[in-house]
Amino acid sequence: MKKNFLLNKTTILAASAVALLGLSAVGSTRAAINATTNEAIVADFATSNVAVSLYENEELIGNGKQEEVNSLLGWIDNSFCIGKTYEEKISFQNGEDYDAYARVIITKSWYEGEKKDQSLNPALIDLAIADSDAWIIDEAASTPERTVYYYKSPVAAKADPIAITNSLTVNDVITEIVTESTVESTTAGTTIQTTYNYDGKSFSIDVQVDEIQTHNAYDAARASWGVYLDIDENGTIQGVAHETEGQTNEN
Amino acid sequence: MKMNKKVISLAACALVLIVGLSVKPAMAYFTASVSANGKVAVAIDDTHAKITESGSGQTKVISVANTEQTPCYVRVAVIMPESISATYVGEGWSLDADGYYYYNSILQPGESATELTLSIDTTNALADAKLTYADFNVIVIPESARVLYDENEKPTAGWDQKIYTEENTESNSETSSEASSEANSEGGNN
Repeated sequence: MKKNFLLNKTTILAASAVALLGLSAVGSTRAAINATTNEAIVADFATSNVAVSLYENEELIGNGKQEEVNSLLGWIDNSFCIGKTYEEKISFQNGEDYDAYARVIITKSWYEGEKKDQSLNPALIDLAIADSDAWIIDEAASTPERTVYYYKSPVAAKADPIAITNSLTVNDVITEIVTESTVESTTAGTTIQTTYNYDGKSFSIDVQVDEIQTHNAYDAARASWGVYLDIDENGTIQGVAHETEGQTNEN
Repeated sequence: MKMNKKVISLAACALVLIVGLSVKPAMAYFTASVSANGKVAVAIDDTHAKITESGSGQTKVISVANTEQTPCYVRVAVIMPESISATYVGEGWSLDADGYYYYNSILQPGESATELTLSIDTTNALADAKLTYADFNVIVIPESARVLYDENEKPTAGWDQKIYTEENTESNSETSSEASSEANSEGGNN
């Protein structure tokens, strides 16, 4: 009786259905398990560990826990002079246990209160890159406000911080640009009011650092960043593309 | 029995198919990210210099202060009759060929320059028979200019700085003229 029950068609089909439901649910997990066959990665799979950190003038301002330790530009006080170049050393550190490729997105913009003012020129906020030869600019992804940089070399695990920028200058041209408006025009004369376009505005800088594993970096970049990395035999990124003819979709 | 074997075989194939379809390419990549933001307000204004005057007789003591929120350079124009002359004493002050007295250091917000003391000399005026007035005015006009930095990061005064609209047309206004309009003009009786 028991044997017939187990071999019953209905029972077998029901068991198959349950197996189908169960296996489809663990599909993603299985992928993760496959990725963690490397012992070193298994050791650090717990996401509570600090990953990539951000520093400003050697002070920690952001860690991998998505906690903002400090704001950027907190050192600026009333003595800040427009047109003067100040030291602004922003750097990042790969705190992972694996080598990684890194990209940096720097966004500069002007605000009037809490609202972005896109009539003002973000290029007048000059954040100088420390070593421009070490980076590739993704022109296709960059805009007047946002510039996307890819660090050419893989960043070793736990390596020393890598410099992104070294100075900040707000161009003094902003003290020359005005808007004139007629306040009153009478037979006696015309009253014109001149207003400095940048007076009372705020300049904003946002720095974001992303890292991906060097292992299967091509696929990781395609999946995580949506770009195709041209990596040579030395592991150096030679170029970044957003679409490549002839690329096959593995899925 | 054969039927059972068939059913079992079909079920096994179905399970193998299910497993095969479930095994997808690895979708999880190790990534990390961090970001930070900062925002700073800028203030641009024109009127920086405010003077106070004191002294008596033929001595005029001038003090110039930066009353705004940004650093600046200051200079002072002293206007008096041609037959009247003046000598000056003041640490950090110098008289330029253009007739302005320049304070050589940057005035930070709220800071005052060292005193500029003028000694008025009326010798030539008294000897001039054409002069009939018993008193005259010595007018002091302060002016200020923004601190600019050249390519070597050396601070300079923007006395020649001009403003313009977005269409790149040069305005007839100069920043120094804004400071002049706020200056105090006082006279001294001698």
